[in-house]
Amino acid sequence: MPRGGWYSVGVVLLFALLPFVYGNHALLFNMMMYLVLAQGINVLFGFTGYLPFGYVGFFGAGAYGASLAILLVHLPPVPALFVGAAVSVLVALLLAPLLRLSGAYFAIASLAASEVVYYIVSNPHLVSLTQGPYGISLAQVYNSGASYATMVVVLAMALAVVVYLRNSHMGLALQAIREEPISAGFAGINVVRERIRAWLLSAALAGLAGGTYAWHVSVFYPKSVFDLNISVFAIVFTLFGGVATLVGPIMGTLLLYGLYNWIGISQPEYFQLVFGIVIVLLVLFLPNGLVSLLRRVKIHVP
Amino acid sequence: MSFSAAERASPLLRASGLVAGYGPLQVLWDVDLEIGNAECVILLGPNGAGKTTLLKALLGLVALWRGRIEFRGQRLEGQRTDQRVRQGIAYMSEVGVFPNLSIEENLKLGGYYLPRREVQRRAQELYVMFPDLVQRRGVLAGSLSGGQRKMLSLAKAFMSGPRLLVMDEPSAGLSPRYVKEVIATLRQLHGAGLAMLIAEQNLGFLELAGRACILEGGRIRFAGDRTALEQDDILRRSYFGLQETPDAGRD
Repeated sequence: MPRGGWYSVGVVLLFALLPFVYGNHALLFNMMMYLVLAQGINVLFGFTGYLPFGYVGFFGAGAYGASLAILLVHLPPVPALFVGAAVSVLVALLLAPLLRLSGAYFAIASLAASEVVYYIVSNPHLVSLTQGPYGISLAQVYNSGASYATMVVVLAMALAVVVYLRNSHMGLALQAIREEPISAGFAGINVVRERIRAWLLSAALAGLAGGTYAWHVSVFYPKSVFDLNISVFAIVFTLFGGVATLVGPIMGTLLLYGLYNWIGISQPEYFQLVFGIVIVLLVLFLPNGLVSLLRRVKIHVP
Repeated sequence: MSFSAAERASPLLRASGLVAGYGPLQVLWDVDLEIGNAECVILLGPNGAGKTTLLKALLGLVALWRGRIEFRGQRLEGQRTDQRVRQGIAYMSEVGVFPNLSIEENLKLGGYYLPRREVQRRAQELYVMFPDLVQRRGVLAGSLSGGQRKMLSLAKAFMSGPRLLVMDEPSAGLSPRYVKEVIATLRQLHGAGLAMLIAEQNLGFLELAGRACILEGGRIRFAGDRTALEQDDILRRSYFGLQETPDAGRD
């Protein structure tokens, strides 16, 4: 078993079995969705250093791609998910020139790009294709059990990707690029190609998550799948746990999304306060996330 | 190291008429440079003479305005840096290592594009040459001292099994003790048949070199045997100070 493999199996089994003993399936489903998105952010930011604020654009593109494949081409949901992922990858290919930017410029440009995708999808002139601002209804394929099971599989795929990157040549090359792109070139790494591969991989994960989400909720509006909060949550969860590791984003998502559900829904006014304090403390004292605490006491973090 | 007949006949690297610069600023003016198989060439010159620019142009980090570069009979001008590296040119920059990666990961990146069996064979040789690095393989490279980092970046360059090792100021920031250690390691690598191009100001490296080139104001001012350089009065005065013999005062 590669390093981190057993953790992944444990997390996947947990989410596969919890529905039998815990009734709040919506919470479990959303948690898995954020686990996938956090790992997608991790693939891009943790392994290449690009922070995509517009990451939700891929999520929305996947949700719409899958939904339209179901509504217009009458595909069954599972193949439609792959269409959704393909749409996200296509969007990512179109946006690949953004990778020429760096730092805050990239973060903001990717945010703008996701807004562009949102405005295209919700444009009233495209009602015949995307139903514009009126949203999508997939009532005819609604199946909360099957879509939940699918999300478990998507989660397993996302974790497998990160386990692979943690243990492989490609992951090492990506980390070298994150550290020093020019020196990475000296190691014989094709910097542009590896970056684009990580970008597409990350987009595909968001697309799969988006498509599965669309199937699970079966009724949604463009605003709800292009909601900037989805990006922000996934980014904060990832950073809170610690990037470029497998367990960092898992810990971050379980703790913070758990916290969100514990106080965020009953007392949203306090939640904003607590969330803000947590983020400030994180930036000040743990810029490398929770996993850096574990590293400090010499625990190996997969 | 064995060479085919064609490789023995032609030099390992031949650059001719290199013209390059940054934006409107021309730095290199018609620079020619040749390095034979298993030859060590030292590139001397004051700060701002264009040494780093010349190395960068060879590696493809600075676009050539004109000129041609041949390496093992292949034209390099249109190739990306990673493609040139894969042809057998290792470059040791002043940074040299990835500080947030472990020693082992740095070494793996050195042999990044080699087949696994070759990497393992080289790792064995590395064990002999750099025993203390291999022992501390889990340590982050950033926690090493400047001298140890330099040794790591040498080991990393060696992992890729290069034909030519290009170095920009290997002595930069090193204490005299480590400079000696670096020179000793380079002599070992050179003895095993590795060709080198070293841009330096520290004349300690001169003893490795068969040939020297002096770059001044972006032009080659002198190219020839080390002994010829050491005997040339004017050059001696500008590069060795006013010493009787260049050897005096060293060691």
